[in-house]
Amino acid sequence: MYSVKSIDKLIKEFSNLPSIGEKSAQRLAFFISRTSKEYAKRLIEAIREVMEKVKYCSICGSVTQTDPCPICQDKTRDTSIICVVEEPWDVFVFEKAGKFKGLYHVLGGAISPTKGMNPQDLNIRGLMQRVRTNRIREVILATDPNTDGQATALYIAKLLKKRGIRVTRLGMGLPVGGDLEFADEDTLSHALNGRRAM
Amino acid sequence: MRLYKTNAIVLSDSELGDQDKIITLLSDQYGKIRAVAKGARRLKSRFAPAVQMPSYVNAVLYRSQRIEVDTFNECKIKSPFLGIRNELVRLSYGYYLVELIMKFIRGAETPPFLFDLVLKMLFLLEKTPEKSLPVLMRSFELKMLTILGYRPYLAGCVDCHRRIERSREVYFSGYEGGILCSSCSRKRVGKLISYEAIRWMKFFANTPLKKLANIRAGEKIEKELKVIPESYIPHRLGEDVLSYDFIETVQALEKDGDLEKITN
Repeated sequence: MYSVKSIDKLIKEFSNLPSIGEKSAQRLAFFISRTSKEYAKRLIEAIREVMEKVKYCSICGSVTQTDPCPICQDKTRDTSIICVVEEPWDVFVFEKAGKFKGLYHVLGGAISPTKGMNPQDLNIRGLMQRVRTNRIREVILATDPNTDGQATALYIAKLLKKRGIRVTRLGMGLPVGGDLEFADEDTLSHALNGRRAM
Repeated sequence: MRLYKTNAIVLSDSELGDQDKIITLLSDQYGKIRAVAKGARRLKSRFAPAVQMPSYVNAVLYRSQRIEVDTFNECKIKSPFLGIRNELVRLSYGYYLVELIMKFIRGAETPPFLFDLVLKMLFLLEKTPEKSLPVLMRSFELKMLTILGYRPYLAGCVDCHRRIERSREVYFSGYEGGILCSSCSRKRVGKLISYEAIRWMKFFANTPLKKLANIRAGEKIEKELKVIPESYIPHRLGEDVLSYDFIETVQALEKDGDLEKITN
């Protein structure tokens, strides 16, 4: 079978990336083989920079180039509210919306016992440490609205309530722009519980 | 290539690309099924609310001749089991239950009575008093093992087949697959267990689940009966049931004294 060693090596590396199968890896490798040397250099440089400069914030666990991260260092933010998210990219989503002015805490995943992810594997200890040593008024649980996200939220809520801290969960209900007729029982019950006066 | 309809229980999910999920289901007729729910990772997806563990759904699926994974065409929730999903203790048992099914059922056929047993157990898990959940789960385990042909041997010593007398010591061996008399336990590895615990095991295996909703066997017996999930089931499976630890973690959290141990 005809093969080019260097291309095969690149295909193998690409296929290790999440959501990339062998076909996609092949397509990417052939794209790289045809692209300009300048682009390839820029790509290599970008990967190198991420590997060398990006680290995890020692306070909130988000990705950053400085430790602590700019959000944890920002004196204008409300330090009495912490928004708990599953992954670092969730912080980017909140910051893009620009509505939340408190601090974040990244757990590094969600509880999923069948997949071997238990509370001990998440950065819950760091959250409890922050709650103990800082004056925290409220903790917002912004884990994903699925079973694993719910398990994580329930677990953390139980821990925090024992310490007498106000715990809230992101509102769940009807998505903007959807039709009511397609709403399921779970979504509707959340929407009804979270209704507000007009 | 065909469309087919089935009642199913959602067992687990895994991400597929940016938008989709692969869902594992226990069907009432077709055993364990894996199916792609297109767009299920999106917030506005029509499938996302239906494919949450441990929902009971009615699904229309498309089976291709070329690939082993089916595709969801429609999925309607029959029961979302919100009572399980919104309470941590019940949810920890829910995870354990689906993992047992995921690991014991390998093929494309559902053993007779198993689907009904799992469904009954989910309905009971939603409303049974929390204190009775360990008893209920032990009974479910024994019934499931019986259906699958793995019921532990409790009629006598698994080695010499002699009847076990109340006055003599009894041992339970997950490896041997049942109880051992005191003389056979010398050559085999077993855990000392009370005669009462064996009687409770037989009672749980033969009593309908719904009659156990308010029964407690007492702390000592319930502790002894943990040999089923901690020793017997892992030996039958050849691997651990990962989510069993989560039940223990949640129970430790329920007790105030263990809070510092968990968080420090």
